[in-house]
Amino acid sequence: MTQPSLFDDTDTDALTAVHFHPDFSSWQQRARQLLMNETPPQRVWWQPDHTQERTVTSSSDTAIRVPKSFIAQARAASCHRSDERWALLYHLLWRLTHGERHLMQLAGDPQVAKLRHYAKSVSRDVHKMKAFVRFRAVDDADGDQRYIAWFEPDHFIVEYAAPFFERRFANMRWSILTPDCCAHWEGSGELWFSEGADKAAAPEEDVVEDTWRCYYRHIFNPARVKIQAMMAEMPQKYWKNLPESRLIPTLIQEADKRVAVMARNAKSSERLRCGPRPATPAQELDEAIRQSESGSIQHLALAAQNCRNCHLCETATQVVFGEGPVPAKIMLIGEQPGDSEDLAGKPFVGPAGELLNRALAAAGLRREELYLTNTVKHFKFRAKGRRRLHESPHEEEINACSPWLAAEIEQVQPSIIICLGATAALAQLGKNVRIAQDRGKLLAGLGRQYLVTVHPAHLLRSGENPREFQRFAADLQVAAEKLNSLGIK
Amino acid sequence: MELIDKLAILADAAKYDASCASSGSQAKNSTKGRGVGSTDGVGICHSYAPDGRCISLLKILFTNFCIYECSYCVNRNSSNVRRARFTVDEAVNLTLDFYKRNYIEGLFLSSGIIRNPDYTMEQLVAVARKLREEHDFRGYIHLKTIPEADGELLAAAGRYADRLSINIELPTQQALAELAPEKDQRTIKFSMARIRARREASVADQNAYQRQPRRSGKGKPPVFAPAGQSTQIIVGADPSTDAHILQTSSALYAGYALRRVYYSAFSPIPDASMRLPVQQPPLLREHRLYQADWLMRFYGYAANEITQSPDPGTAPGMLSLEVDPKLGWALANRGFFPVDINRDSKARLLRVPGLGVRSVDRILQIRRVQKVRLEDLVAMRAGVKKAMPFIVCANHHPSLNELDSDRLRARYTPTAQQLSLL
Repeated sequence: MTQPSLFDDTDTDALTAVHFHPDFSSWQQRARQLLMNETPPQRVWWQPDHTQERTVTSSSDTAIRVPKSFIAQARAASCHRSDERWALLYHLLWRLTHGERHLMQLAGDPQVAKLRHYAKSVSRDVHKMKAFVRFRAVDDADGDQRYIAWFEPDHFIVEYAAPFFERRFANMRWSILTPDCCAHWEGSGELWFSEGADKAAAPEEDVVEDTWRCYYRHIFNPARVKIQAMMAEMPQKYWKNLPESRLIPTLIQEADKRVAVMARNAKSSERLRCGPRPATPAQELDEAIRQSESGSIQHLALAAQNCRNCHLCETATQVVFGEGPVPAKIMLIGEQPGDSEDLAGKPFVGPAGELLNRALAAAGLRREELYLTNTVKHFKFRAKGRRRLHESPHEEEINACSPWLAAEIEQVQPSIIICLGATAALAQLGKNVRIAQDRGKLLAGLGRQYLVTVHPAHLLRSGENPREFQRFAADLQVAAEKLNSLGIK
Repeated sequence: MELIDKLAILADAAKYDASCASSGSQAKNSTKGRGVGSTDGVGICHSYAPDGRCISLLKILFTNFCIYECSYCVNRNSSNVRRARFTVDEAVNLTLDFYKRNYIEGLFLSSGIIRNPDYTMEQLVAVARKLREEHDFRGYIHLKTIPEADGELLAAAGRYADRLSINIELPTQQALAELAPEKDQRTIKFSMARIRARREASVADQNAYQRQPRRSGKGKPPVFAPAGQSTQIIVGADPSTDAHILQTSSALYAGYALRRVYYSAFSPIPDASMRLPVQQPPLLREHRLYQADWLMRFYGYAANEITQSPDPGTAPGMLSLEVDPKLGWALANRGFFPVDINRDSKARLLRVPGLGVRSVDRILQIRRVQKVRLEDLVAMRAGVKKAMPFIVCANHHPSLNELDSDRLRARYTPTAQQLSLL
């Protein structure tokens, strides 16, 4: 896509010389005309000329359709310093409109790759301009402050990058001076641009720069010098306009010595210098446990927070202990807290809890009269990206947690225990009980009656079938009726 | 004390926090405001220190007085460092002075614990409130959240800040109990859970607002901490392995919707505690953890996959310092390869060493139109040399011998130093 040469065999008469102001919208307008005339890229001789008028076209006056990604990249690439850019853009435009509609998807095409390379260089340059422009405040004739920066970009990016500074510093008056073009903003109105300037036109100091250098010196950690990493992101060509860069050689030079001094002056005493230390959370918890009535449910709930009987405490947020009146006639035991319960610290508050609430209401049971708990008190999950996927507890985890559940039952003294799901049924009644065959039946146990049914999460997983819900509520109702018949309600 | 002396002390006190991100927030600018500032989701690093770390935010402590005694921390109660404390106005004015000169993207404010957690949190919130309400500052604010602080203070912090963070500090509760007894992993996780819950509720409010046919009244409800929350784990101050650390971060990502987990190799500090290991962990270890973290977040690897088959010569549970974790996984799972560039799923393509997310997306785009050739990979500047033994494409079929060869690993590791004759 180089410009056709005037000195080889090309038929120079067939060349169209296009004189245009070198900015994207002027190019765009000329490119449209050429395309309308079906002028192939080999015949176009792009002649950037700053004396030409800029042209602006509205996007609606033509029917040329090209992918958005081309426009975005072309606009960026048009700021590149390479002389070839205009020809490259027209070449790609020609191909896009002459049978290669999918061209932009072909990342391996040499011209597409070149466009991407240009666009990337420009956007990197713009990014560095946003980063490394340093304003210096000066008082102008009216006594108002104006912020002036000197910057030397690689490409012709001032107009392209200026709106960023307008949005960011909308209520300041500022100028960014560069060798090619200067941008100005008066605190309102429109951005305006002037011709390139000389570095001498920019102020030489700003009092705040000493403070900034102080920050730079002290945010540096001498124990991890990584000069290459710094150079890769802040190449030396930018240093001359950065007020902090003059510190760099000394900071590097002194780093080893500073680390050595740190090692030599290693700690002598643990004398407190900022006043007495507060009680640790562990001490506070121990104290709370001591204060609570031994054997009470509050005591158990506090003591469970210290539980390290299995590894689940490492990943879960907190212990989710049982909740409800003590004593209570009915105790509901689920499997383990889920995602919502783990965050809230209360049992049955997530989607399954919500379903359970509806089923309890349908069965004529009042949740606030029941004691609700789980077989395992910590959430067991597998981390998958941004989600925690429920995992059923193993026997060891169930066993590790069983003393807590036994102590709860001991305190709550329920007449009926409802086991929600297989884990709870297994833990309470052993392997002989099967949910499918035994659900909704009252089973006699040690001094009380048991009832097994499905876990509400099971209903959620199977798509909340209304019949299944009815059946679940009916199971719960068996317990409600048993209570009535015992006349204890 | 002069302001510049305070700045020196409180920047020194803040530099061990690795986070300096200014990205991921919602778009805002000062066009219709009274003050300065903008964020558009892309972070900007305004400078780099010779430690290779970017300087994006004014990272300071409000005060380095601290009643806690965390062994690894330069500001711990017993540390013999100079102490200082900003006033709210000083912190606000420093931020604005720096911001107006384009030195920074905003403020990252943390603090030692003074008096109690609520009082400390109040000071941080006061700085953010003044910046936002009095100066209409629209730049980036990152506030450190004191885990034990009251819920109302947390709500205010999330209203003013783009990002909140609570450092988990050490990968296990046990290590925390030993080295930072005033901190507690349960409280920390509980507080992360509170932030997640508030953020989700505010996003739901905003979605409900967007769905209203006529958006009347007070206008769009603000998003709580729009740039989310992050945390930091100190590496090498306790004996936890990389497997431990990655397991912890993957649980944190999944549980509390963290945007980032930062890994900070424990670094020598002035007046270090004797409870700390004498040896600094290699900075490369920190780098490998970041690579592994990337694999978990963008490449679909589970934490245990990355560490379960240690590279030869590497201790169990540790990441190899010689080969990067993606290559390490590929070398240990050669049966998974070759991956067919033209047929295999995105998930499989992402496992090819040398192919990044961007390259994989480009491959998928080309595939819709035509077959992908090796030249395409070269032109898109993918890591072709690294990928070659692991892929097949239109004009490239690696010999199976090569993939199985023990010498494959040697190709990727720096050649052993040659012996020379005396």
